[in-house]
Amino acid sequence: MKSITKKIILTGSFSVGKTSLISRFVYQSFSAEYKTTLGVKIDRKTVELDNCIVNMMIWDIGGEQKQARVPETYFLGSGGVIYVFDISRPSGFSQITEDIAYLTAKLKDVPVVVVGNKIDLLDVVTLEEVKQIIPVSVDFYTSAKEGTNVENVFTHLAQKMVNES
Amino acid sequence: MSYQKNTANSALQGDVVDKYLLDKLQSILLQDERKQLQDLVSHLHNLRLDVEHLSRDLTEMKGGVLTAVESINNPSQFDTKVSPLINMRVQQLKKNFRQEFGHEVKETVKEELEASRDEFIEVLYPIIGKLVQRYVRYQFDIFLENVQKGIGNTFSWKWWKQAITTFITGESMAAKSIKAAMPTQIEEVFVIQTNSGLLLGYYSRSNTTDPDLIAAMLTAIQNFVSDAFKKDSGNLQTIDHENQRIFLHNFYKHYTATVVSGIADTAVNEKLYLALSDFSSINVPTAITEIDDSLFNGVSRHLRETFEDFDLS
Repeated sequence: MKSITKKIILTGSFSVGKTSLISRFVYQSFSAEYKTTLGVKIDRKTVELDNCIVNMMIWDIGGEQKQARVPETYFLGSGGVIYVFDISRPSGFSQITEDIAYLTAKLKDVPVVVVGNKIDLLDVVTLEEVKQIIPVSVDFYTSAKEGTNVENVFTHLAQKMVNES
Repeated sequence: MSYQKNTANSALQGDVVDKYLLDKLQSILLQDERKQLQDLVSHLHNLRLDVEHLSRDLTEMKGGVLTAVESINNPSQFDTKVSPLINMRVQQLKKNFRQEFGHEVKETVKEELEASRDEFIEVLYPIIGKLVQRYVRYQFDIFLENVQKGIGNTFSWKWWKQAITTFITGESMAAKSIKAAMPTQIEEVFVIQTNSGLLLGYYSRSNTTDPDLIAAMLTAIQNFVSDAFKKDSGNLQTIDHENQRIFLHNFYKHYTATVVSGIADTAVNEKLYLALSDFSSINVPTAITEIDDSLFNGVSRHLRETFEDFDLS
């Protein structure tokens, strides 16, 4: 089976759970303790699709309030982007549209997956209410704590990258 | 008259008898009391003797105390008397310190060291580092002198040849000798896509744990340096780690990271750059759309063929 290597960017505001998603996806673990990521942290994970093996080099970028503040060099050469926001923090929703616009402008033709994390902090009714006020189309709602949809995010992105390459 | 005299005698005799009888009676009746009285007198006598002894002792003690006070008030006198005692005790302690306090001291020091381990390391690390640095520099100077001396004593044809080469290249004969003693060797070569940090090819004498991660981290470091110093044109060129040096060479759309052990100086860097430049122009495609197994294996195979026996000297 064909095997390819891709650089993945995991980005978003600070404390939205990017590193926790990686921990869940790569190491199958979760820690409630918050440690801010300084600069960038790199991990790897192989995703096996039906027709291809995707070797993902995942760049977990330290959170910034605006994507425009992330060093541009970190985005260079990336094959896919996972943009994460905190579903339990509506005050941050206003920034999402601007961030997504910035990323798609910077990384033309690169698939961007939008992820609302921390659904475990909301009950079903509140979650449905919150979904109505999110200003962009969200691809996945996840919980790094409980592992909900985490694998799907990365598999979906891997498939998208293979299809578009 | 005679009658009167007899009567008087009789009376006198009667008084004597009475007195005798009275005494007798007294001695019978007061026998116990008299004994107690004698005991009491004897006890009082003993007490008096004790008091006299005590009084004498107190007088002597008072004299002693006065002498001691006088000695204390007079330091030289005090010192004369006390110093020998202290010295004797100190000598005893010195002689028997290990037996008397060894265990306690050992335990205390051990506990303190364990408790303050981080502080000790923090304090000692720079000092030890400087000492090691000084020692290495000193030994290196001696080594250089010896090499230079050895060369100076040699007037063989080889020496003249080396001297002529030295004159032309400008490289000292000592440096050449050191190079000969410590061979320069390529340990690893990474060919990395500039923007993505993805590994295009890899060669190593020993298997590295995760070359993909190393390639990505090296790229992140390069990115960080260029962002931190706000210089787009500059690049990180070398990274030193213990006895190894990583040379970073930038090409059109990729860069190489070469780990070299031994003496890795400018001449080595130049030679390496020329070799890597040739290698890149032949074996690394400029337009890469996808990094797959065939690309990676191809570049890696060529790296091994080129650099496995590459002579850097």
